[in-house]
Amino acid sequence: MSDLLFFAGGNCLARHGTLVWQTTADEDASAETHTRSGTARSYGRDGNLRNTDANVPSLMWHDTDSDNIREPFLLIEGERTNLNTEDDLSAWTTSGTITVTGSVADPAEGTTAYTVATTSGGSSTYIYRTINPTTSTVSVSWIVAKNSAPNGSQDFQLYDTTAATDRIHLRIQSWGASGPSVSAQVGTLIGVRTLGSGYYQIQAYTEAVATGNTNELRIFPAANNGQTGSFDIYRLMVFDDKVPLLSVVDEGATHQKDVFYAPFPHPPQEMTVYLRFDERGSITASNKTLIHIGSATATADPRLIVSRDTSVAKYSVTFDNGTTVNSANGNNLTTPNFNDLVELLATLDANGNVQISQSINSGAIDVGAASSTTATIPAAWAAERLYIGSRGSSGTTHHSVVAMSDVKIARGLKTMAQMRAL
Amino acid sequence: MSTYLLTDNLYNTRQYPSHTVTASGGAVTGYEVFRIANARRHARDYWTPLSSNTEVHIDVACDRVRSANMLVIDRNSGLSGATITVSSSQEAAYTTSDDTSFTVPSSVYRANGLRSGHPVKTQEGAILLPFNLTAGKFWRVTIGAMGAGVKPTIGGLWLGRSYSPTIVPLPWDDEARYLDRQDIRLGMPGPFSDTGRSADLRIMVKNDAEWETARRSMLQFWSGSPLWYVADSNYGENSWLGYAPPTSFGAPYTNRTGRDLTISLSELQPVRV
Repeated sequence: MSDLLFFAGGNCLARHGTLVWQTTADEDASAETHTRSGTARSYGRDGNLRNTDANVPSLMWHDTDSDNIREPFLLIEGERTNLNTEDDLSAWTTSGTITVTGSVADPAEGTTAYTVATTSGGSSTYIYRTINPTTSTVSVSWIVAKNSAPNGSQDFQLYDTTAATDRIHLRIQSWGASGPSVSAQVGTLIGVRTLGSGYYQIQAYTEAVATGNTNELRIFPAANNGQTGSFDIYRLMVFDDKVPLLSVVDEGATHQKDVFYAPFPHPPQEMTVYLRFDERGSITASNKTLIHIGSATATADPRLIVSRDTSVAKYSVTFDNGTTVNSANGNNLTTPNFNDLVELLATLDANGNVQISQSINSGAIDVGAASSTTATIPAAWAAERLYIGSRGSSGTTHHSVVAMSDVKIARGLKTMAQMRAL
Repeated sequence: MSTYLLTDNLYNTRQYPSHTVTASGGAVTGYEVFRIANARRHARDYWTPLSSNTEVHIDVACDRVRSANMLVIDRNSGLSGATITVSSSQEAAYTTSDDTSFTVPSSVYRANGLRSGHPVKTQEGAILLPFNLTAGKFWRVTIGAMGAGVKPTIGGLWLGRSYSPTIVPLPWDDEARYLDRQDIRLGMPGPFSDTGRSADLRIMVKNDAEWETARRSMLQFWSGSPLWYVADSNYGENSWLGYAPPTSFGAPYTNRTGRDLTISLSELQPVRV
């Protein structure tokens, strides 16, 4: 019997057949509890969209090593509302010579789309739609496919007509075998994710939206004057949050928060936590939680938390025994980017000190500084639970978008190599 | 070559008491859907729907999200030439699903390699299909319409996650013969079922992680669920269904770091082929 006490996530599903597994508990005693009051829609084994019933955990399948086989990730997402209130692009207002054809006949599969075309492109040739953000931080998620010539020069803008300035301006420079080459003229490009059937998800964010102004979504099939252009668009989603959903949400609809926890019937002790996940943006906002051990609320102690640090864009581990709070962040570690495959190793030693190490995309293992204040390890946690992606069911403050492959917890102090092998 | 061991069966409500198995198309009285997972293997113990030449499906609603990578249709089924689709979904309505389809082979071939998406018919007529691992809370096996006047019959259906040892037990000799032996079964009703295959496996488990992976399969097997034994995936037609006889088994620590699996199995309800 190994020292592995607890295992959860997409890799657990592949290895043990369920999302949660424990060495010392039978299957039913290990069963997860998951709630989400609405349905969800994420990417299946072939990269096309799959619906998920309410209160069923979402899976996201992603090829992490380019072997053309997607592996499952447990997808836990916070609450987001799509600010785009019209999925039918033919209902958007047009400017210039432009046509919109097609429909989303089978939206769940994500294999049909609207074709936006022009025979005379340029900066005045676009379709547009007004949105009403309520915060200055806004993200977009744009699902597109190549249709025909020209090879590139398709643009997206989040344009402030009051201030006459771009808040986000993305340009598809060209289309290659691995998808579109996208640059951000304005705003921050999060990344491009390959989906199924030739579709790609382009995500970006800005922190510069003026909420009282008139803000327009604009789509340009050919950004150059007089150019003929055409491409396919499946969805354009906008969120009042720096971290966009990976899931697809219909016009004006709200993705309800996922709350996922499992029994954790193991006492506080010297132990090692290993996490492997697809970076979806938790790193961009303070306190976004990866896992939360030993408490059913965001305040009750004793507990142990692995989350994004409160002040710096690093992941950190915190142990709170009720009187002493020991925290260690990876201040000297590289900040992960969106789409990175991140591995974290968080340890709690016998003196109650914590330390975090990190590897990005299977690269070098960087070790953060350990805390140095003795904190007595108590006999019991506040609650025998382990949450993934949140700190209890109430509130959304700590909710992020977490695509989790591995949550492994072992007794004793282990190395990254040892935890990978467990 | 690979070795596959399959005991897991999402359709088996003894393994999974909280699962719900249903079939479209109803069932002829005496041929109810529960018969697909009782492993009786009798020629008259099967499920069949009320109507012929109609697409039908057998669903299982699991108690949680579960993964699978292998389907087996037992010999006492009548599906030759039918189109079968295995679907996993996260919604009860199956409006979207991950699907794997195949046509049930009618011939038994020699050296028929078992691989993802390629079905193999065994010597006794069972159909084995490994597929890329997928997962869902809801699983469905769909049988396409089989023609005028023809109704599908399914005597045994396994859908689950197989265990494949990392260190493959090698054949006995270069002719890919295995140490399967023919047992004389006393008290069998006729000469066609008085012998059956038996095997004793020693599987070197690579590490504790693999042991923990294998453990569930073995516990299911030693708890009474039969096991599909694919000794060599390059010779999928030699696969057979075994049960755990009342003999020695276990996973003792051996004189190296780690465990070995000791598995004895005897063929369940053999027929002479």
